[in-house]
Amino acid sequence: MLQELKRSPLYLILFAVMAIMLLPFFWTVTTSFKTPQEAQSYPPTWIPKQLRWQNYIEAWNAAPFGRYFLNSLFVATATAIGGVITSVLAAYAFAKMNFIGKNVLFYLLVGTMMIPGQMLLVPNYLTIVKLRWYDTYQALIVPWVANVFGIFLLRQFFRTIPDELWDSAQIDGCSRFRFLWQFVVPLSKPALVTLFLFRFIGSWNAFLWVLIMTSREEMRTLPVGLYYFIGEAGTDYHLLTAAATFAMMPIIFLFLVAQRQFIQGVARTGLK
Amino acid sequence: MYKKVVIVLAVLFIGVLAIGQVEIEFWHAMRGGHLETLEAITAQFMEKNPDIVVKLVGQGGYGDLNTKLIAAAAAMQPPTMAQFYADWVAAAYKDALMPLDDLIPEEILSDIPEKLLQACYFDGKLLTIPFNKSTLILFYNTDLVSEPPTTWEELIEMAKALTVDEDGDGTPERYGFGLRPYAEMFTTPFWQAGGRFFSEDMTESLLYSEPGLAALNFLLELKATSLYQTGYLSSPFGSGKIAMYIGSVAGIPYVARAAEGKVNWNTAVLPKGPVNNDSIYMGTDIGIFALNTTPEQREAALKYILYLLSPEAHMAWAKGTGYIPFRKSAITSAEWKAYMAEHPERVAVTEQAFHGFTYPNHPQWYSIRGVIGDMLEAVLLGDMTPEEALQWADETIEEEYLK
Repeated sequence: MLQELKRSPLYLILFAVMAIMLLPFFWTVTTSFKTPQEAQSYPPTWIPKQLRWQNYIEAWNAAPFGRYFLNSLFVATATAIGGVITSVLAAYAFAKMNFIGKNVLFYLLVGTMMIPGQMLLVPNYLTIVKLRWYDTYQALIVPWVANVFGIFLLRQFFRTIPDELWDSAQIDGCSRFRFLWQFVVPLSKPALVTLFLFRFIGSWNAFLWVLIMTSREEMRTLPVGLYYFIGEAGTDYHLLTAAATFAMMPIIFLFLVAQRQFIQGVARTGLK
Repeated sequence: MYKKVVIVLAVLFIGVLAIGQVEIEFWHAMRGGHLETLEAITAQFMEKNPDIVVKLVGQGGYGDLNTKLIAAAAAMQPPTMAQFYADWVAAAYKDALMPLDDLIPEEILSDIPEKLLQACYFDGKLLTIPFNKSTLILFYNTDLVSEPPTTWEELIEMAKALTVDEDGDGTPERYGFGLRPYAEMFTTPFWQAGGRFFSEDMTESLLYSEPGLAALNFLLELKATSLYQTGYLSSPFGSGKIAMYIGSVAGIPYVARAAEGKVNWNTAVLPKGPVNNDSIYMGTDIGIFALNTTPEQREAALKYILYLLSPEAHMAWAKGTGYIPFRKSAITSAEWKAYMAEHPERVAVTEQAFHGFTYPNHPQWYSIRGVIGDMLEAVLLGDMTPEEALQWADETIEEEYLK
């Protein structure tokens, strides 16, 4: 009892922080039910006077959101799975194997993270066009399958697995690949789930890349659809927030399912 | 629904006639109602020209559009036509666009306000044509203001009189004016006071001048009775919190929505400064790529542009989007007069459309505009005096962008 009382200031702080974090979500969801007038009213209201479900129908019909959803889901899943596979292989080599130039190569790779993405946009566009991938799913997926951040994240995690495990597996005649698949991967589940989520969310939210690499409506994804509601002299907040709400649902669902693993993954790799 | 069926049928019909067709892509940044209007006008054009297919490709916002255009031009795969801000053309597309000088009939060119067309000339060549243009306009609450102010002095006086602080706590319950700090809030009064941005040879920045000081002092005086905020002013105006404000005509639909059932309002031409009551012309122009397009595509694009400029399409565009009509013959037509009778807020918009100015066609204008915006904010927040701020802006602009 006393213990809990002592902790109460901590809970109070945590609660305040939680409220701050949740506020944008709360605002988004409540605004998505307001009338256009109320969404723009001044001073703003917190709770809608009446629920306007129609916003969702209007927002959904404003652009081909069904197609956008399927595209986002497909591209994000493919990118995340591919990203995890390549990162596991590369990270294992960097964490557990010895070869000439290992450190130089690793720092070179990490160094590429410093190059701002915007700078690479034009060269990347040229590459995609030359490959004849413009306006295809390959253009949206393949360039994002290899990913330095993932290699870095998993390397940190793999290094916490004791080398003795490999030594004894080797004595029993285990191959490197089998060791990776049967020992390292199961032991690293939290890190893999974390990486999967990072990659999935990154791909789910990608806007500029999709816009630049496609022009057909059928190739575009959810964030491009959200742009539809932002005008030059104002924004249709009641529709934008409705669309944003249905666009973030899958991510929230995914996070709830994988929450435990995700938190472990972040905590154990020392990433903040 | 009916409109959609017509479009689908039109597309099918065109599909049947697909032999010998030319396809052109038009990259744009239009969304929402603006896009719907563009789609309808384009469908009409294709109906009349079954041998041409215009593919409208949205490329997000303007910044995204420019990024993509740069990449596409570098890859030698630009669209047939696109929307451009003048400074984009000056920076990157001067040699990639098709000169339109001899292709647009003189009777159309002379029908467009000269100042508006000026910004479409680069090194003496006409490379673009005005497309979605807007100006600033005065919004005023007709429940509070019977006659809108016509000069700076009247505006300041009225704003003062309309500011109400009944409980005397220093924060007015109602403000006479609303002020949002962005570059055009300075450049427009600067121009109205006779200001010019650069010397003829574009090596000197001329903000620190009589007109510059006059504009800033005018805004400072106005600020004393203003709600000052960085967000759009349509909401506080619609709820009666501010009695007047100056903003883009593109804000009209938002004002209408915010004010519905709360306040009555109208628009007026901008109050006159020491020299004139011109507004900045905002918005983009359209041009045709000469780079890697076929003669047939260029010809089709030109046909499409001429259609957009036709009185019929031009008026449909202005009505559907709220952008300014800029052909003299269109606004003097019976159709437009009938439209204004039904939409009183468009009367002042139509008049203001012929009193405007444009920025110099400098490739770095976007960044220069940013410096002007920072300068204005520094003055309005009291961080710098008008003299200091104007000198700082001149120095920064000259050092970073003109030398």
